[in-house]
Amino acid sequence: MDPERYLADVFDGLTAADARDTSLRIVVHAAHELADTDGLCMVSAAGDRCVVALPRHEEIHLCDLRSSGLYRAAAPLLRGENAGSRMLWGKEDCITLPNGEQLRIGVALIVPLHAASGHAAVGFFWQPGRTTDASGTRRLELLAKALGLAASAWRKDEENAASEHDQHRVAADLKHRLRNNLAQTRSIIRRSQETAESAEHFALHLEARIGAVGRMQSAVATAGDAGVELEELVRSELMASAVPERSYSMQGPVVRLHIKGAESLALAVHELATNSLKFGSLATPNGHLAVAWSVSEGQLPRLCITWIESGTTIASLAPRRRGFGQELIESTLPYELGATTRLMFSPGGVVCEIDVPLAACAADIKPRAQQAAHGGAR
Amino acid sequence: MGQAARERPLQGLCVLVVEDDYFIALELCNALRAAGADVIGPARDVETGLAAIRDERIDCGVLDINLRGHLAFEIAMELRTHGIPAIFATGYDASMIPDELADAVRLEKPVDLAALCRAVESACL
Repeated sequence: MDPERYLADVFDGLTAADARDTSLRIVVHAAHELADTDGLCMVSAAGDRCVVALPRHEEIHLCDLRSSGLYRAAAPLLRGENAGSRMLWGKEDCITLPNGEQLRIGVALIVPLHAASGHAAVGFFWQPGRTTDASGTRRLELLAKALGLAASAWRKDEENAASEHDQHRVAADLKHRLRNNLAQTRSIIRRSQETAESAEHFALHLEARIGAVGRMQSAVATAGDAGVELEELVRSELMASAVPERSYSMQGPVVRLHIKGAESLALAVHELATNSLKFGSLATPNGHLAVAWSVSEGQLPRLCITWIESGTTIASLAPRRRGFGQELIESTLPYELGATTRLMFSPGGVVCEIDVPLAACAADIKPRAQQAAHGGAR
Repeated sequence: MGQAARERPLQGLCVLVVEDDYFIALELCNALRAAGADVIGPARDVETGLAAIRDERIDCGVLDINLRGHLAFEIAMELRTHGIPAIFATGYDASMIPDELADAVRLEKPVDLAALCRAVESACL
């Protein structure tokens, strides 16, 4: 039979793990035939994993050999010292297989492998009292090189499979996020419609809400796992409405919000800002808005955000009906973040307190290096 | 079937809603109530969902899969041990759903609310 054809048949359609095991079985058999070896071990480049293959019953075991004398003797080779040279080791040692069986070793031939194989070395071994001659050693060196080449190929397969898997996962995550965002947007549209006073009011507010959701989502995408800073979130809402910097101040430690926290709080800030621009302190030249937040100490720290408007009298009356913004603060935040909230239409302007378990909204906090009450610009 | 029954096909059914997004939950609950169902919940997390199964009469569960990073399959399995059908309303693919729950109806977000009511109705037949 054509050997190339035979190998093609054997390897065709194999997974990376199959390819590894098949290569090891072929080599351990060949080594047994050519030099009477009792098995081989192959150590990963990091030295933490070792595959032991035995010619009997084509066994393959995954072992940790780091405590063995054989491993310690080969350590300089594994570190790349004496690179390229083989080493014959003749001191009795014992390898413990995962099933508890003790494998006695009298002599081992250790051959370093090329880095591309992802492995440091392959060791052929004999039980005590057995060994090979110079021609056997040469044959084993050739076999080790063949095994190194095979390892380079199966390693590439493993890497390809892993990156393909990652790509599938990213695509699935993206699809899930997209579907969720569509569902959220639709539910916001529906609720805006139900709470709107008129068609014009509905269109105006919906457009602004979708703008806020969009800003929040792009901030989340830019920030990634680090999380969106609460201060940035508040600032970007106020900037989107062209609120002059002298009209507001912000104070609080650096709080980085994770995606769920950012989603819920961004809309709340948007609604507060919109309301303030229409009826509150941001609608009057002498009005002022102070946004401050702090994090409580303790085992279950809480983030307390206060939004205090002052210098206006027109917000003294509570709205006739519960609007979208009020529902968002009084119902959505408690439901989604477990927050306790208070929204008060006091004579000087709106006062809103949002007290939320830190774990429900934040990825990270830290004290601000140069803390000062500051307005829009830093 | 009378006119009233056709307009309120879920009359007399208790439907548990598990969804962590407030406005989406509201939308689902309103649609189910409009079709005549008694809504249990909405529950925003796994613990609340499981507590509702313990404490309330439930004929059907409508479940989002990802609840703030926790998966709702535990709730679906608990419903199953009580012989209660579960419907997934989710952005996830079918491939995310474990084999033992593969026969549950899966509606993709954003959920068609009329389809949701039909799915609840036929699950409770």
